[in-house]
Amino acid sequence: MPLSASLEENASALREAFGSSADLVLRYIELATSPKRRTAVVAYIQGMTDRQYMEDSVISSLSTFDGHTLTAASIIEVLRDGVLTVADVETIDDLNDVKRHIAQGYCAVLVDGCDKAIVGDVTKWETRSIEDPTSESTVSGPKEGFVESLSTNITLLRRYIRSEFLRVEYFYSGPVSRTPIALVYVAGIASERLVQEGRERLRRLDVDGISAGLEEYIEDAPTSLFPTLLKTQRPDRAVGALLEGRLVFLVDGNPETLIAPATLHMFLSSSEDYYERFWVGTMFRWLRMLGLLVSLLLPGLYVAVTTFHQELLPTPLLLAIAAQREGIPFPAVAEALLMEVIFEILREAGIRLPRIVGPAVSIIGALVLGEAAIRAGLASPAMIVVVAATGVASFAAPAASFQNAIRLLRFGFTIVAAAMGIFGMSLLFFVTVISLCDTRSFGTPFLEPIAPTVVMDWKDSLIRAPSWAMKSRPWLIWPKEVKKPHGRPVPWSKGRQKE
Amino acid sequence: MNGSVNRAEYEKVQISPWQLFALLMITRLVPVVIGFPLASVTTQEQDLWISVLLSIPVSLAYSLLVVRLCEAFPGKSLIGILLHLLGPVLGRFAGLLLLNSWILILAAMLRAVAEVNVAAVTPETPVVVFLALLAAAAVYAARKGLEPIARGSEIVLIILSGFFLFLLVLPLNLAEPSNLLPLLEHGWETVILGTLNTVSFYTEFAIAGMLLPHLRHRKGGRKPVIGAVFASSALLLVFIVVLIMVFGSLLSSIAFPAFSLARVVSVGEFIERTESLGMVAWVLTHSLKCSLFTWACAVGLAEVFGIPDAKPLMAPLGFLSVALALTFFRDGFELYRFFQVRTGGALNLGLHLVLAFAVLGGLAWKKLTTGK
Repeated sequence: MPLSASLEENASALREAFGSSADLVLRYIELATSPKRRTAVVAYIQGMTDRQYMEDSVISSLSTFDGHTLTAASIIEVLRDGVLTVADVETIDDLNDVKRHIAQGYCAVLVDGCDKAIVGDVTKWETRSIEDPTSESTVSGPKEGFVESLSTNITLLRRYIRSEFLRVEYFYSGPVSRTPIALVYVAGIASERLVQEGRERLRRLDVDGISAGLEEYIEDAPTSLFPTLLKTQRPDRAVGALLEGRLVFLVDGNPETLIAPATLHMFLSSSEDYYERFWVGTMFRWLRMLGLLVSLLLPGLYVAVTTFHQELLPTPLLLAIAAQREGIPFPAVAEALLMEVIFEILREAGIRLPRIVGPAVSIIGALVLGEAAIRAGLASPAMIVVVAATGVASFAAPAASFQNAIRLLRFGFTIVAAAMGIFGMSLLFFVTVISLCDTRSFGTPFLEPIAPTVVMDWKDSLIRAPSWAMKSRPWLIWPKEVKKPHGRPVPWSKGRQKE
Repeated sequence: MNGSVNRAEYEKVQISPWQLFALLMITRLVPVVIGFPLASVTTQEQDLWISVLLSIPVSLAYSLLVVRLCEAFPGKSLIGILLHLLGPVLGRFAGLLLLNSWILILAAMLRAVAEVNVAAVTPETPVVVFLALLAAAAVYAARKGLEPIARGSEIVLIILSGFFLFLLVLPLNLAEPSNLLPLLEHGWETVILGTLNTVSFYTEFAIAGMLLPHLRHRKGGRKPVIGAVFASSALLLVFIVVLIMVFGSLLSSIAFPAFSLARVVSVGEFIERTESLGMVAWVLTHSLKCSLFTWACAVGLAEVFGIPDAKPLMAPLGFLSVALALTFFRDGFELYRFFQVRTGGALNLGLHLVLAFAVLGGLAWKKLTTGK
């Protein structure tokens, strides 16, 4: 819808569009033009703009403007190029564009007799300061995490990659919320096809608002139990992914960024791996893999062994477990499910409770309930050990979304173990493996580099090789350049020692 | 896998040479992981390892024939090649015979796992429950397509390797090398029967004819197929030697030798009776092979009858294999006896021999008539 030359018509249209919203400000200013003085309107949303900046760069400039020699045709250009001292300004002639800019925190300057408007970026609102991310804490490494402000998050990325190759593309989702989403990649590394795929998926978004849950719309397997995009609040993690040729999606209002493509091993890696010696980093990864298996299979294995495969246990251990289970009124599976559900409730309550009392309540709850369950004859000590070990192991995976998938699947394994022992567990494992083999993340097989086997990618997945040995980027995300500058260690040489 | 393959090429084709190797290895080793069909072929078990050695050249020649055919007719599956060379009537007949043998193998695999479970773990559970669950898993995987099955084979092969390592190393304290002697005490009959029996199982490598058209490199099929023949033969050889050394003259009377081998494992009186752990490898390998055969049978049937999509055939194939597994074999022992060279194995060998000659004849006829 084109702008009218009548200021009043434009102002009325704006008021009508915003429903006379109380925070829409239309500030009228008389401009010193001839032969008659013209009126201008500065339109903006209160609270979304930098008030001081507005006063200095827009209101004050317009009030002191001397434009006696100007015609209606040239006044907009002069105001834009020589009067307004806002860094980011542009001229537009569409009313809908004006409304969109105002809603995003820009100010719009409309002048009587002109069918164009100037919009300037004066946005500013209160944001949380940069803090250590709560969900991916590390002992070493940077202590800063993404926040809710998109521009701050992009700045965080730019601080790590200070080159023109870091590209940011904005998309706006939803006709109502128009939430800005940034697609970030490194030109020259990320494959053009991957970038195009990212663009296409964002363009196809057709939702009201998307501050959270973007991954549900853009992932390859929306119904899969496992996440296929990696969420992170750590800029260093996002930067590592960008330098490998991956895409990063940032949504305004959400501190969690999405990395694509994401493969299974990424959910078992942590930034910490790279801040420690590579031996230690490798050990951390193996521990997490072990934790994953324990978390997924241990309760089911306990149920299967105590119900069907007692011969697997050495006789003294079998007798000890049998003695403990004597008097327990439930079968092993009921005992396991009961304790698992109680543990999950405690865990959920611990997160929702106020931060001061949360940990205390969950620790005391776990201890008291565990002890009471044993005394009341509802659970055996062995089961408490199994549930506790499973619970602790489930936290080994750094990605919370992945932990949650494992939590859910664990119940499935426990139930099939009760019905069919190790046969049932193996069959469910097979179905899970096939399902994961069929899953892709932005076209990349989810289980890469194990299935399909890509030996050259093992050095940053199954193990954490030394940084100087990582000479290539992950092959199956098809980076433009597979080889990367890797440097090499520079030990003290004898020649220099003589000097 | 290396970086020289571009993305378009990678996405067009479906499986890598390594995946082909893994699929063939699992295909060959599945009959070994629970029972050991070779073990019941004769009572003169100490000579069986010679049979494995002698079977290598024949198995290799047959496997290479399949590879060469697929190279000569790029993009065509074995069933497609039969239709092309033998014409629509004879080709369909030959194709159906081949598919029939695969469906029987599928039913036998289902029955083998179910039988072991019923015999050793849950005797109260009806065998049909195990059969149905395994068939359902196989149909699920087959419907996902060849790519997930091939990727799954890479993971299953790792587990299978661990299982073999475990099974071949841990019972060595019970091994008695003198059980291997005397050699050729009763002449060559045992050796020849064993060789034919082993070759009969290697005819399952004809499944490569369904996989090779989906291979990334058209000419890349030889190495994985040759590698699979040699690697599986080497494992069989070591396995039979360990079985003979551990069980001696009892071997031919044991229904599930591999299962029994896992049972006798004992490490420090802590890890004992590990047959239940072996079940992980048994179920995974059998499920994978069942998936592969379900997929291959469905694709082959679709090709024979000119059906554009093989997916709708997979569930009925699952039902058919369960029904066959229930009705065709009475128990596990009969199952393996059926595939022995004295009974069903001879039929199988005969079928593949006739098919090989028919294909060679067809090739000669084509060359004669078209000059190509």
